[in-house]
Amino acid sequence: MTAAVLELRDVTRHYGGKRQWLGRGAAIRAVDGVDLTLAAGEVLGIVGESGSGKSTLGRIAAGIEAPSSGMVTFQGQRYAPIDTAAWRRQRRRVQVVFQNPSQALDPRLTIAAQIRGVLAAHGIEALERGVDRTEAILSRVGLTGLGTRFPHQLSGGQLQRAVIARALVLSPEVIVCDEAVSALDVSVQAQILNLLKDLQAELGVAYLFISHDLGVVRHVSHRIAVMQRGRIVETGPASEVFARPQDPYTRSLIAALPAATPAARRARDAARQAA
Amino acid sequence: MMPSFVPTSGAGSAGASTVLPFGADRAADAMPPVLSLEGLTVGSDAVDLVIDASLTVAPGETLCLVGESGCGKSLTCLAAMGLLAEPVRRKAGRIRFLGRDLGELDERDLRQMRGRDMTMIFQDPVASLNPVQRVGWQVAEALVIHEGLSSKVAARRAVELVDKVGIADPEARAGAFPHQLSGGMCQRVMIAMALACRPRLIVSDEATTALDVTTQAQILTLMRRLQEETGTAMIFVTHDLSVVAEIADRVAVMYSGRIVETGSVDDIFDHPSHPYTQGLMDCRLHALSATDGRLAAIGGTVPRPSARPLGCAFRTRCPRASQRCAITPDLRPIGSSQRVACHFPGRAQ
Ligand SMILES: Nc1ncnc2c1ncn2[C@@H]1O[C@H](COP(=O)(O)OP(=O)(O)OP(=O)(O)O)[C@@H](O)[C@H]1O
Ligand SMILES: Nc1ncnc2c1ncn2[C@@H]1O[C@H](COP(=O)(O)OP(=O)(O)O)[C@@H](O)[C@H]1O
Ligand code: SF4
Ligand SMILES: [Mg+2]
Ligand SMILES: [Mg+2]
Repeated sequence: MTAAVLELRDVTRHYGGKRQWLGRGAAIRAVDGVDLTLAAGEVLGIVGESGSGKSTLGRIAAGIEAPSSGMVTFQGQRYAPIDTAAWRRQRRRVQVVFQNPSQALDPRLTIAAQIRGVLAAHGIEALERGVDRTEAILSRVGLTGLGTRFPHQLSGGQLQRAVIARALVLSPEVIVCDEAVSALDVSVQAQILNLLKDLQAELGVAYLFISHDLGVVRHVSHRIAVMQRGRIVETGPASEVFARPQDPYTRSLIAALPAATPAARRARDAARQAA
Repeated sequence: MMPSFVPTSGAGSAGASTVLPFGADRAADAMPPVLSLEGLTVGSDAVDLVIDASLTVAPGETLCLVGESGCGKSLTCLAAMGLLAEPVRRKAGRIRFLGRDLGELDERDLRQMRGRDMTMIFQDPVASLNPVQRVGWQVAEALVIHEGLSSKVAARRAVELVDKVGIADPEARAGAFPHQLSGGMCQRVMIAMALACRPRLIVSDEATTALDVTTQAQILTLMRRLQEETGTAMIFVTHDLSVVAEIADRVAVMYSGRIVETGSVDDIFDHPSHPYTQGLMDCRLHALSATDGRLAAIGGTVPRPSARPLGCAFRTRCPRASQRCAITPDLRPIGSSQRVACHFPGRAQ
């Protein structure tokens, strides 16, 4: 097995004391005793229903949020305390791509200016062997010539490409993708999934790929972890988890999936009727 | 005993003079479509947003409207419900509901029809419900307004409906406010409201899109079962083709304001004939089917309504486009139940 790039050991995150409509202030265990290993160049999918703790886990893995307890190591080193210089150096290696690209970008700056800004912030030269890094990454994600546009001048799919470019220009080892294609239309989602897959194969970057869409996760992931109420109830190779789910919760998720075709629906309904 | 969620004053005064008893003359005209759109064009002065759309829904039938965001699904639904608001309006065509031309009805008649004969369920149930009113009362209100029931009787019916849509402990839940219920429960309440007066048509606009798969599965099963019981016609908007496989009898595919293909659900899945429908089918992902490598994505993006190419709007993305496509293709029959708007329909060689 290849070396682990990211490791989580017994990670827990509580959110406590908040007022709620039922009862008051019982702590929420958003993430509850999670062990997880992401190998270099691996795509690990995280699935689970709304509120199961996927995004919280993603933020902790990316080092944006500290766990309440447990340990996160990136390339064998614990994350430095948030907002220190050492932390910023580590953050360069672990990037995030969220669901809503228009919120992730600065509406007042062109796409190219934002990418140049990120390079400058990390002290990286604008040129690499005479080639403009910004232009190169923009054309790599399919935005050739669009660097001079402002975010409002781009479509949702183009914006997500810009966010991916901004993450990639720092040559990260890991990208945490949290519902990165969920807000996109099917045809655009397919384009972005192709791009993410190509980049992964080409650059060997690892993804922690979070999505509530099991079909999308199966398509991109090598391995899958299923989350329920803050815990990981099952992990395994993507095809295994869907073909032979072991945990009852995973089975209930799969049983609830809408049928792929009307014929599959009729076959399923007939089988259920017979049972 | 009056259930506790009934407001004590100011409710239930609306008149309901022309109410028919349940099922009375409603089964008699079962054959003609419940709703038909004939050459409907919707837009503002500047731009057409739905163009020349024709479709029908029969009693007991579910028509799925599919297509990517901005293609005009919601506007088509709003037009069918007589709910378009300035600056968008019906620019051409006719909407017939139970044989009556909606364009000839005044707002009072329309309001009476909505909630009684036709109801709509939206994507965000929490936003559609009144946050400061108990959900049971929101279900009961339609019965008071449209069926002329007393608050007391309506409230009891409301609890039955809340029970029927699968909410446990209906008496207590009927007394809850929307924020005290989960998203899935709120959507069930919306369905209970929609069903209250046994409408002839339910329009559901992305009603399960925001729900988890398990909740979505329950809601889809519920809607199918209730529809079988009541024979209600349904327009079901979704962009998820596996939801279509689950619930549709017939499908209309929209692209950039136009209906580009219609057919039975089997037609659309077994032999999609418009290049756009084929493209959508090719980039489907399902957790139970293995995929390798790259998806056959449709290149490019949907044009804005103000910047559609001349002729077929799919021309800028279509692998089959040729000179002829500068002329807008009509929606023409191919086979017995399928129609397609393309100069070169069928599978590409
Ligand atoms: N900052 C916070 N303060 C308090 N509670 C929080 C916070 N962030 C998350 N939670 C709670 O933690 C739990 C897990 O939330 P999280 O956002 O990680 O779920 P998720 O799996 O990403 O859900 P979704 O699929 O809806 O995005 C939920 O109960 C949520 O309400
Ligand atoms: N009130 C409105 N005023 C102007 N344009 C609108 C309005 N509502 C919708 N549109 C435009 O009409 C087109 C179709 O919208 P809509 O029916 O909401 O699409 P869908 O539901 O398929 O996503 C889009 O281009 C949208 O921007
Ligand atoms: S009419 Fe032409 S451009 Fe339009 S879908 Fe058919 S082949 Fe493609
Ligand atoms: Mg999340
Ligand atoms: Mg819509």
